[in-house]
Amino acid sequence: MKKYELIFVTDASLELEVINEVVNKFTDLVKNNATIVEATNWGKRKLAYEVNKKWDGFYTLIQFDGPADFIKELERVLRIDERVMKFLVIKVDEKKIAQAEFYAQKRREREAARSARFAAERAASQEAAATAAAATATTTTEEVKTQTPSEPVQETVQD
Amino acid sequence: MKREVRRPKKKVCSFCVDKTLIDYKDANRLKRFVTERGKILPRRITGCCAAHQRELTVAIKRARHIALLPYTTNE
Repeated sequence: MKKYELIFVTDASLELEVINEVVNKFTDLVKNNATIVEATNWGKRKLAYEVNKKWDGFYTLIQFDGPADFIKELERVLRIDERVMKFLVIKVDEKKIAQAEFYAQKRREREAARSARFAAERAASQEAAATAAAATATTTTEEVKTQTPSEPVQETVQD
Repeated sequence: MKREVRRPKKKVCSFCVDKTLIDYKDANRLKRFVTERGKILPRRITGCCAAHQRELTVAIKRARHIALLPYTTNE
């Protein structure tokens, strides 16, 4: 059993029911011969180039674990169905994915730690500001009284 | 007379730095590594290391096969 990935493009100019039928046909085919890990519909997308005089395709991605001989059969059936414009079955490089996942996890941890530190710092500074504000709040009323007479004195200095 | 030799700044492989997977499904990301006409950029431009450039070409070719990226454009 190996991990594979099937991606196929159905003709998007067909009726939605027909597209669904095609998608279901192949998901069922994979389901009956292998174990599906994940199946996602990307939906209608513009093609990068014209295929059979059409510019739109309905993308479907199926990730599955399956036996090697099933791939040949799957590709044969995909080739027969004319509603499928394009398809690609690839073997997934599990080692690389695991590695990327490992580093992504590490990065996430690092970022979480950083944001936590930031939050802590901000909370601390806010707290400090709050206490300072509380301290000044009591003094401001006095300060206002003392500041107002000092202003005209400053003006005279500038003149 | 001494001729001045200008060496370009040494580039670092972006995939080595990010340690992310080169995914053929991520066409938007791959677009950065092809020209406007759809040709794969050489290593001296992308700055990728040999291993990642190899992976990149495979990914771009796969993306082309399922019409996520163009083979060429006529504009």
